[in-house]
Amino acid sequence: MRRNRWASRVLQLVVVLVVFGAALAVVDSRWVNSRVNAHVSEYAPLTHRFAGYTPDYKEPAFHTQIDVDAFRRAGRFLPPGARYLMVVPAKPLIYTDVVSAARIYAPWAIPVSDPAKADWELAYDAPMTHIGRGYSVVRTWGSFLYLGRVKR
Amino acid sequence: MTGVLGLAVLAMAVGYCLLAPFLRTRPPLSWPSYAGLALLVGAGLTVWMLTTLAVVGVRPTSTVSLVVVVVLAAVGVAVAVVRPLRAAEPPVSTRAPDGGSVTVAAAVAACAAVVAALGAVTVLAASRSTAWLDDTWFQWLPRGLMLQHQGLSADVFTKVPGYISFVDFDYPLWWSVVTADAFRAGTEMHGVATASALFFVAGIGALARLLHGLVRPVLLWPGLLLAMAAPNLINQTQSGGADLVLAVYLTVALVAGGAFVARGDALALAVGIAAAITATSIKGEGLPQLLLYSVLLALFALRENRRRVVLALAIPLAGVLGALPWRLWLATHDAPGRIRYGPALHPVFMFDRADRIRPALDSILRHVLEPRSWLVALPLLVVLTLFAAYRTRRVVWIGPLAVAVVGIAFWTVVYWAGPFEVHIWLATSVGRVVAVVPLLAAVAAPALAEAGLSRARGSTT
Repeated sequence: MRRNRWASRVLQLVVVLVVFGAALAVVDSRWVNSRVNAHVSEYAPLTHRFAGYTPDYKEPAFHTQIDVDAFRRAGRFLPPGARYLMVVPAKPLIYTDVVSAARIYAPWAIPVSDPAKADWELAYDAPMTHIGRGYSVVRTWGSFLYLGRVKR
Repeated sequence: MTGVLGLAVLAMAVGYCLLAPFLRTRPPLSWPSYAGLALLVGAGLTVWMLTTLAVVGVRPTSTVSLVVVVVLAAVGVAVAVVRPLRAAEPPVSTRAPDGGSVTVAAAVAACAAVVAALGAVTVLAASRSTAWLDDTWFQWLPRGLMLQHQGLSADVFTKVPGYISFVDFDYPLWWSVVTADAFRAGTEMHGVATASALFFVAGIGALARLLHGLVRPVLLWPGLLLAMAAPNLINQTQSGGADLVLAVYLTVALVAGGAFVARGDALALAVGIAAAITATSIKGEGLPQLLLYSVLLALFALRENRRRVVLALAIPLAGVLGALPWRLWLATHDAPGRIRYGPALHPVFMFDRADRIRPALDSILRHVLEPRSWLVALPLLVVLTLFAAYRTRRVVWIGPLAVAVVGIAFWTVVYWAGPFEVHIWLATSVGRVVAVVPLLAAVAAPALAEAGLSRARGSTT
């Protein structure tokens, strides 16, 4: 009886190791991946991340193509507690993307919509509306991202 | 991935400390099988504490997080040490019902290995994925990062004229804190999806542990494979959204309640309470769903063991208490959310928009019954409910199917009463939000099969 139980345990262990190893090896096989993908495309989230496929993109999944790296660098110039006016082209999708990118890369600062509350201005692909009326450009990134500061 | 895995190990360590009073009476060799439960309990309560502290003005910085981790772990260990052994719950049987012959044992082992391998592959795939859901980048993550840097400022977290507010500023804070931690700990873009996948895999492990001893392995593991291999859930691990994690915590809370009623295991009750507190802190719909489903299951189980059913109501009660801090903060800042359940109680309002029922119900049913999303979880639930109820003549086994029906009705009412254009709203959300219904169906299926096969009243299930 005891021998039988041990045999069962050993068999279970062998099966677990074989199945586990085989599953991992199979997933990393380009041949298997392409066939799984052809027949059961619902598993694409798995097959697309392994052999034969390029890695996922490295930037947030925004609706539009914005230069996230520019926001990453611009965020470092905003001091903690800064209130910045967002100036964005009047296109529906890009507004959310730009505000989100600014929030992610300058989470210590606060975006505002009222110029009277702002001490900074962050303009993306749009003219800095308040330059000359109390703002000066501090930095630009490419020809599309401008950071301005209110003159006190 | 290393950073996120490090956080998961830390959360698991806290969970083990919190579960220590219950684990003391169990064989040490069985402790590794509690890893999924430990991760869910540890992460759930640590982050809930952080969000509650944020409500009273403490920023969830790394230092504060570390203090919370140490305090929670110390409380768990202290209770485990101080609590006399004789006062502990008697050890529950950790031996599963007979698994059958050597061949059956090998088949079970193979099934469990496939579940484990699929879990590993899912986490690995997520660790190479940028979260695809826009809400992750527009809401969850920025809110978490801003909370960590600025605290719970009304200028940021409510709608104040002159400030750019978050669209869904009433979303609870739990998932935002997790995504911010994962973003900072991981390689930025891939951290959030990795965290989602880890919660999902931990949930499957937790459900395996809760049902172990109640359902024979030859039934349990195929049921868990049904959940683990559901394409919808695998896809959601890479979304970065909160819906999958909410579904996991809700399912664990309900199954833990069921496990407590079935065998009086205090650990299951404690896990249910922790999962309920967390579930209602993840998304607004967590609380109404938890209340509906748990009260419904309690009604169906009332004839089984009235005392335990009453005690299990601590789970939905804990859910109410878990949601309270954030709700109070919103109320004191006069910040009602976009989605309110009040309009659903006004007959005239609802009658005027009755044309929304049909598309909502059609879409929900199409999604939960779609085999390419959920395999056969719901049809199997229907068949096995009939099987178990007929064989046992016990009304309790209708409970899971009733939850599925009420879950579908709940979401129909939400889409019916909600403020957005119904077709666009359905197209962008229904596949994610109804996840708890098929997930619970997949997990309930083995228990129903066990009940039908065991047949005799008073069996382990």
